[in-house]
Amino acid sequence: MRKTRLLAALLLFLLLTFPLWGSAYFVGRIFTPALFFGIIALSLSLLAGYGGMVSLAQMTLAGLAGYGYGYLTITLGQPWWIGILAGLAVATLAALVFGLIAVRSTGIYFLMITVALGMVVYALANQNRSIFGGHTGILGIRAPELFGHSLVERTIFYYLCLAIGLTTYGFVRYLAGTPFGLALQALRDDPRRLSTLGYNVALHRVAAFTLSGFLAGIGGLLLVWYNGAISPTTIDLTRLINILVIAVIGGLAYAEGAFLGALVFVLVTNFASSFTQRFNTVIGLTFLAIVLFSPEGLSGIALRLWSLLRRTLLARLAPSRHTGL
Amino acid sequence: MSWPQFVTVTLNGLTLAALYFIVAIGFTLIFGVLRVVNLAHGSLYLFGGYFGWSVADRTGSWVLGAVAALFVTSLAGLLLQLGLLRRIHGQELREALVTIGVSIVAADLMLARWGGFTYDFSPPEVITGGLRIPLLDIGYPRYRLFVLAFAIALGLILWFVLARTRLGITVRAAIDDRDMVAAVGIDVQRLFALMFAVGAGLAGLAGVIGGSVLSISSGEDARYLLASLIVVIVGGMGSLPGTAVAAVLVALVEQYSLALFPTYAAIVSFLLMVVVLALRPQGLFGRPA
Amino acid sequence: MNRQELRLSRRALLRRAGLFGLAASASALLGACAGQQATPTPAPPAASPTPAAAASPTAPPATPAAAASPTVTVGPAAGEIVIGILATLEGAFALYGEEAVRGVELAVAEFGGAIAGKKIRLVKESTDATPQVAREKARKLIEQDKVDCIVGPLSGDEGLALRDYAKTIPDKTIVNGTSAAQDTTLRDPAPNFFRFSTDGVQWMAGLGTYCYQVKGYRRVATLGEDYSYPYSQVAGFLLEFCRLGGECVAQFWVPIGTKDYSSVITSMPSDIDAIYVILGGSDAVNFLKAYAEFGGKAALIGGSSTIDQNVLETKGPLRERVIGIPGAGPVAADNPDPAWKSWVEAYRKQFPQGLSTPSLFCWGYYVNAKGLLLGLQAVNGDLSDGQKKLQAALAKVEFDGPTGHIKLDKNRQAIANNFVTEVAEGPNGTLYNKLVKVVEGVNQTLGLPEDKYLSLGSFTRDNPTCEKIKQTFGS
Repeated sequence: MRKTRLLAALLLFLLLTFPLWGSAYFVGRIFTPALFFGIIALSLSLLAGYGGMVSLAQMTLAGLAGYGYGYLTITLGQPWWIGILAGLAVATLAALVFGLIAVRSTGIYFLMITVALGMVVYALANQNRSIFGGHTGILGIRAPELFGHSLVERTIFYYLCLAIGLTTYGFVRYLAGTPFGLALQALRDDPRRLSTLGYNVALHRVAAFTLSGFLAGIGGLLLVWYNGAISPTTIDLTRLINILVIAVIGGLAYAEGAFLGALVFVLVTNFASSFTQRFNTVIGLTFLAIVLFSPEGLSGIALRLWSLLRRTLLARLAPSRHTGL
Repeated sequence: MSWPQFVTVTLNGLTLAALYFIVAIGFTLIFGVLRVVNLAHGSLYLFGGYFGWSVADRTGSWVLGAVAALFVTSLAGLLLQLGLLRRIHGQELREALVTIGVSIVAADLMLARWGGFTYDFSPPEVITGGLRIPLLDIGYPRYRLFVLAFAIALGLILWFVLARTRLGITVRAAIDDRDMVAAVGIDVQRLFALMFAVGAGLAGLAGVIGGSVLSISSGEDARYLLASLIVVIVGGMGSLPGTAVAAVLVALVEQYSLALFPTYAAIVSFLLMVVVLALRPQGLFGRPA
Repeated sequence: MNRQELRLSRRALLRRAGLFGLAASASALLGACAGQQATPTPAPPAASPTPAAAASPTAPPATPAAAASPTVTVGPAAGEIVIGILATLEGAFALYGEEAVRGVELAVAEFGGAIAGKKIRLVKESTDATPQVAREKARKLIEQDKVDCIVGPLSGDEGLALRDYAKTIPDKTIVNGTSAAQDTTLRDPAPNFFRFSTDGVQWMAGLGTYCYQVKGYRRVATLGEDYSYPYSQVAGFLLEFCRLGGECVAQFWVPIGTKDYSSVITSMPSDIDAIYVILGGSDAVNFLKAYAEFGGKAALIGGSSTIDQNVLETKGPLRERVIGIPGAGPVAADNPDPAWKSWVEAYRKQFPQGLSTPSLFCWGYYVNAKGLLLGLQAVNGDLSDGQKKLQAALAKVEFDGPTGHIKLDKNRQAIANNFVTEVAEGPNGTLYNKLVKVVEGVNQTLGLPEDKYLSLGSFTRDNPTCEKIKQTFGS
């Protein structure tokens, strides 16, 4: 236990000091996107890993937050804090609506209804010019500016994403232990038993979806600040699937999996092209391998490695305990 | 809408329905018997289209291309089922994820092989070109009518096989109660493999037939997967008459929407899917899960 | 999928874990070395490069930074000028992307591959015609590949995105490729974004007049894809056509990539003389095929990329339906001008496996790259002061390109010639755009008074209408 804490502390220290020793490109273009994509994937981990509801609409919700921010700040010319409120409100509300629509669906049907909802929003965003800006989207979106500095300046943005990432991660871990979180996991494992215990299954599902929408919205705001614009491409089917791929590669049942998966994904797509044109195949194969052989994802593998390492160390350090005498 | 316009739009809807039926029927079969949501269905469609085009281009025969597409995608489907899906049989969500993974890899590999270009088919002259419908004096593409005829023929063949042959009875029994079928002593694994191959083969054949209506290029896999999903959800997964009825419904709705309010017509089919999933998840003809 | 289901036998897991551990450490190594590797890309060969096939727009997953060319480089080596090329080397526009790269290479070859003794190195990044990816790749070019200037992008919406991006990198310069949305330079332009090619409205100069006066059309309908570039094209056509008294009866807008035009064809009013069609590449093929099969009677008028050389060289029954369609654009294949002829010769010589005649995409990237290189030459390759000298010099660049004289207006937008064409069959059986009229010195407002022009507002799917044009300018 103590060793795990030590490792976590070391990791945290490395992350906090990264801008000091890491390359600028890595800080701004690898780790920062990994963080906010991780937050969006985290919303999926919450929903799917803990709640058993695999949704492909998380990116849609994130995108809606971006559209909300863009619409309020650009089209309506409102200040950034109203934009933030609007963005989060839109994402959360949409998630509530999605949740209500999908509440009776489970498993594969749930997955498909989220795809359908995602496609409805995509088509709407692509066609509607007055709010969504059509195919071009909303351009010239600016992140908030505080004390003369834009929040998307590389180091500031990195720390912002890191802070928000850690907060959301901590929140989800904490939530897992609360009565709500436990009920959610029970929902994943055996909904019927949960309802016989007197819990309102539908309510929990809708609440979980809404909460995941809020999380996705946070990620979506960071994303739209990073890009400075939003367009329907951000929420097309490919991008929706990307989030699922990220969460699965990292480990769907683990909160840290979302971030690990996002990091791997960003790394592969940024650098794999130096080695092969077929990096999508690489990602697809990795995804397949994980689903087939190690559904716990890289997190699970990392955990196994770590516990193996600990055991080996223990065995080496205290051989007398294992002589069987 | 004027009368000739109405007729044309309705014909467009019916011929599109025929296309949707041909594409979606494989998906329904696979789900009905194996309970697998094959999200690589679109990839099989596209692969069939590409392969069929290559064969037709090499040999000069469109028909040969179609037949080749049928066989090669059946084989692909067989490999998919035996190699990957069999080992995780029964875990619905995981199977769906595997098929997503396969579709990702397949799309990229096909892009590598055939590029992002558009490929036009050249069906035999007897079924191409325009046609004048006598009483209304409107022009209509002959090939689309061919697709309609083909879909009807396919539907009839499938109906015959399912209703009158022993294999058909087995398949219907497997759709109704898989465990019972196994208990009765029928080799369910072989049946699964066969059905997957058939379903996949139909997807590939649809790739050539459907690809000839417009053209084939990368991105068509996602498009036809979504179309199949909508049709099969609305009709009821695993129900063949459901697929036929839903294909007509979805296609007609789409075409009328396009004619009446083109800007937002794209949303309508997805909305239809959402409504059905929310209110009657088993679809029009399906059984409650 | 709960945790119980997810466990696997330890041995199997360890095997996989080992593999992934290797992958993880490889990534870590990459992290440590990123930015320090120097693997310079070789100068592109004179023959046309094969397009790097990367992720297609919709099917496989592609994150923010799906790249196409092998590049892990750090900045320009001393005595080197690095130019990034943004073009669609994938998807439906891949053919255009190839042409784009050829255009840049033609220009570079004219300068012997170097400016003031500094070698020119080209870095290619592929986009998929969406603003999102254009932005990402532009960032990659600037931040990771450390290019000095960018030539690109190819399509309209990408241009708008790059205009905005340019504003965030004032010490770098972006020169257009072929993106032709008018607003990129007309409204809210960026001081470091230069367009030596004409825009979608300018590309229509002369066509509306030709259709009204020579072809005798009075009533038309329009069909275009629903984004910025077709809006510019339709507006450009209507600006001339309506002022002469023509009428636009209906406007159809379809989402990009639409293949099934049956419903559009069905809703097309029958009492029109012609349909003005702006679709690209394969969409145009689909439309033309379907229109004929449905027995469509009205004539067709082409936008600049509807009957582009790529479309004319498509095989199949398309050919017969295309002959006689008028169109307009910045290039005309049978332009008798010697400057054009020698440029075409240079193209054929450098790219024997290219198209039979260079396309408008080759031209666009060529004139823009040439403009950039002339600017670089004027400052002797000095990029040291945050490129201020270069940008000042670029604004003053004017030269005689293969299609005539090109100079920039106050928004750094080109004023150049335009050509009206009609499709004809050449002596060897290939189709080409036959030149029927040259319009000289076309500017962004088509010669109309600027204040009235700007009062029309941004061109969108509902703006401008024929009535509004007649009201604003009188007919």
